[in-house]
Amino acid sequence: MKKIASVFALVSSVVLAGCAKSEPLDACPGLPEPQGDVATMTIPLSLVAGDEPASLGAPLVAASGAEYHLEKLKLYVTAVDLMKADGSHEHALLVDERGAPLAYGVQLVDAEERGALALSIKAPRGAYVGMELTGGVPAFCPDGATKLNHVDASTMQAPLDVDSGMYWSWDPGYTFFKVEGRVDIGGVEEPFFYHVGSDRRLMRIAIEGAFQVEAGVSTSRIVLDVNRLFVTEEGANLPRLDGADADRSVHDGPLSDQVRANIERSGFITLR
Amino acid sequence: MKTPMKTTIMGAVLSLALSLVAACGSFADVPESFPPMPVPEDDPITAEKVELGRTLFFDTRLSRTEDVSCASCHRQDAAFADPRRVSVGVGGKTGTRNAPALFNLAWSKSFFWDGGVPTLEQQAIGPITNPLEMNMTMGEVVQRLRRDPDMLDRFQRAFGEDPSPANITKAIATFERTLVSGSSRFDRFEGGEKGALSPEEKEGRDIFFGERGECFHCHTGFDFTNHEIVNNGMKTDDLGLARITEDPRDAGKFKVPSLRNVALTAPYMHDGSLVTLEEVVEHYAKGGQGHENTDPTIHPLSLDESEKRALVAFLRTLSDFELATDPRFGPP
Repeated sequence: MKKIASVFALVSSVVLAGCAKSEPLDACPGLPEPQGDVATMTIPLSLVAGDEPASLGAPLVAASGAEYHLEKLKLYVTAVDLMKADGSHEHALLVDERGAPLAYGVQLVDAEERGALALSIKAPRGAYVGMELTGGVPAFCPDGATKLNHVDASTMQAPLDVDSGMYWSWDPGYTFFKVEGRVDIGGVEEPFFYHVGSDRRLMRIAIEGAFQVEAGVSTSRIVLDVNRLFVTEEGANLPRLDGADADRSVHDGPLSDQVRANIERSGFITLR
Repeated sequence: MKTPMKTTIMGAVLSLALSLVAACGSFADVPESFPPMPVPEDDPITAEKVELGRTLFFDTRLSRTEDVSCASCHRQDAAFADPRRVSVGVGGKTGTRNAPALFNLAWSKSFFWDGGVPTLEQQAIGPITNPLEMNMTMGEVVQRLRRDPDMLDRFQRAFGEDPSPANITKAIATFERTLVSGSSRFDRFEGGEKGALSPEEKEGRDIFFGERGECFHCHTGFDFTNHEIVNNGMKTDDLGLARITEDPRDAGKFKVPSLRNVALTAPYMHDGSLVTLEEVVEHYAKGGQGHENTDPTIHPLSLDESEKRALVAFLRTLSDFELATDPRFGPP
């Protein structure tokens, strides 16, 4: 009998070893559920370029003086925490305008949404002094075991679907952030694109600003200053929007690192 | 003498084993000399999926201009490689790499020349959505297929659901897994048919697997590849693996391809820049072209002309003409 069991174990292990396992992901396990007296609040989100309102296609002027316009701007957002004055924080769940949790706890902020640009969160009511959020798609869900960034996108639903325009098919994973457009160089409109991706470029963005969580639409507003994408923490104009071709097109490498740093630390996202 | 209990349990064990084996590979002709075919649990091989995948492989509706299919760049008579240096996608657009041959993919550990994609299912997304190849979104492909009643019926039979990005890639991957190649003269020789190779081809075999040629360091195992990603001495500006890792030490590194069917898959190397097997052998005999990341196993060889000819003759014995002509792999 023991011999038969051994044969069974051997046959099963040999055959099963030949069958690689790959499950589609329906939801992201471990997303924190806000506790206590919670409210669903929508925080409007708007684009500016310095002191001027910005939108896709509109003429803009960078801090360097370069004249440009945007054709795409997309950012994945997840893992939102709300900071309290005493240093503690509360988890906020990203939801849709009706309060239903977003798939995988991820939102794709897409400038093409125009008037509908907003983050909706479910979080404990109260006063906060800022928020932190993750820019990008973490390698794993909050349970630490379920893969998220490098799954087969053909099995995923929006916003992580294969047609999100944010999926790298040659190195499966998501672009965390992309900005694309055209810049005037000597009277000629030249294209530029900056893409930020890869696990090591996941961004954790701290945003200061007092606000109140209560049901409805927030009186505060999240502002994305696109000019800050091209200015370092120290105030240098990098990456050079009106530079050589190699300065204006990047999927990875040092320039991608620079854009990531600018997003995290140059005031790209503020709360007003 | 077996007891009834033992007989029953043994029968159950064998039945389970056979059903699992069937799930893994009974739709492909896997030679006995090959390891068991690995098949993902969530994409088992079924007759309906193989046929659907074959139809999709030859279906030009997967491209924006409806004139490019997978088979346009992966020709059966070329062991599903492309005889052109680089393939031509929609609107005559060209890429920078030679389309790789397609066979024994079930055993591959990664896909595309730089090995960035871990599964066949994910690989299928790349050419469909690449602007230089088929230039579609998966959603657009789904919409086209859903307008075809026959396709709706076939997806229902294969998956129990309408076309979706996930089941399109699964069907294509399933068909591709059945492209098994192990019926060459070399295989017959290794199987005991000693007359299958000529004396010159046997000499080439000895050079290939010996320290004269050292080919076996990389082109080893049942599929003539160690599945590693290296620079083979080709001087190139293509980032190769560094496109994935962003590590300059990985620049110019590409997957070691199988050498099965190599006589059918010209031109050679990641960029299709070497046209003949003789040029390939010469490349290695010279120790490559001097890329800074050249693999340490690549160095000048002291092969005379007769030995080079023998090596090429041996490489020609790796052709599997069943793969190249089997109607099961041709247009539906």
